[in-house]
Amino acid sequence: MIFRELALAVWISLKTSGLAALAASALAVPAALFLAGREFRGKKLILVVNQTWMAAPTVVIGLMFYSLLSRSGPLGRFGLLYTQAAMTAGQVFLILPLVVGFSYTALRQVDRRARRTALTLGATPRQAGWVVLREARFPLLVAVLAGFARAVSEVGIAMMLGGNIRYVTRNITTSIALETAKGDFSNGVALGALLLVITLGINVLVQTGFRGRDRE
Amino acid sequence: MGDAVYRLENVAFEYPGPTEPGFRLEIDALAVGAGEVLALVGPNGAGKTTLLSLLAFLARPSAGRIEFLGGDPWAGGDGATAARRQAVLVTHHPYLFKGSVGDNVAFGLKLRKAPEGEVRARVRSALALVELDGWEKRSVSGLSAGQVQRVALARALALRPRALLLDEPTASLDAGLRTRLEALLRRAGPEEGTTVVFSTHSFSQASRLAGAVLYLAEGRPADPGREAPGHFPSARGSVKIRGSP
Repeated sequence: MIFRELALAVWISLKTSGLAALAASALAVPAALFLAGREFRGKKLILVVNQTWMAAPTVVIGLMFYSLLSRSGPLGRFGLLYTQAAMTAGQVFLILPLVVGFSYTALRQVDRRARRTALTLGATPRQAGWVVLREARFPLLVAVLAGFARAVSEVGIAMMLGGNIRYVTRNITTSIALETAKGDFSNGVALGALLLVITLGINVLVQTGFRGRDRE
Repeated sequence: MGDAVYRLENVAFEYPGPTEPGFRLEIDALAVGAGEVLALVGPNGAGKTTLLSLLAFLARPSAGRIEFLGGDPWAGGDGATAARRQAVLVTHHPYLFKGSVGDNVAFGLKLRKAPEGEVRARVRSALALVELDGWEKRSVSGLSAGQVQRVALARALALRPRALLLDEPTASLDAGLRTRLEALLRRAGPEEGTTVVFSTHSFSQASRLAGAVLYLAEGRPADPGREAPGHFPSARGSVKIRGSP
């Protein structure tokens, strides 16, 4: 595997999964804040559905999006199949329940007095919501990183929606699948190790930076 | 009372849901003027904390009206938030935000967009008032219950609110500090014009600090009977603060 191809595969992995983690967080954290702050009829059902959704196989999600995005599908006219956008969309759907679940747990663990304290000190309800998010900032960051890790390591969606097109949608995991299919196991293992190192590096960088800012 | 900070009329409050089944707070009339100190005394579950939450506009009465500085904060718009910026509650078990003591004391000032220099000065002086001079940079993790209470009090004092609401403010303090804090509260009231409403189980503390006492039992103003030393300007049902017409 030439260096340019490898670098592009790494870049595509980081780009699609990073965007998926950001987009999923933008949806999941407000949803978790809503769920954590209120008791209402149907909440338990939503949580059960979310838990179940977490276990959805990536291939099933890939297949679902494939049927939507294929030329004969309802969204076929947008020509998104075998693009990085399709990979990102599928990954968002994959990690959304995970980020919701982790964020919900993080926000439930924030002391209930935090919001009340912010309010009595003059915060608007919206500012008080931000205070709750800030109090849970570290576990929320872990939720986002867990979503990223799940997205960057999956292969079913990337393969089905990206099509493993060289220089366009081939990422690290589809490269591993390809190398393994070719019988080049050592390349596959090396790529797997590279994926782990990259994920580890991102985790360490983000968490170190975050804790450093936290101490200021 | 022309300068009433609080005026309550036929206020009732019930907790929604099954949290406190059967509990109902009822205050027919209550007026508290600027600079006056009112003590809420009563047994556990009498409604002292609930009344403080109502006065802090953290809970909305189920019925009746709470007037604050001449207006009804619950009438609509941002009235409740505006009122909260003038009426600050320090709870019995205060919550400190993650970070430093200074961050906590500066919290409300930053919300009010106070200039940086003023924030620093007010944080410093508020911490000095609770005898925590120079504690700005300390992390809140590991503080004792008494220190947490003092930081929370400093956080409220830094805002210089029109009404300071305190739920058992000296419960976690040692005797010496309790005496000095009582002196501080006495100054905050009549001398500095801050209306102070505090809850306590101690009639003697109420008599030392307050111009009037509202004795609550089972959610209603009541006669303290033989529990009280007998010289409190308190009354059943309707309470007016000494000095009010």
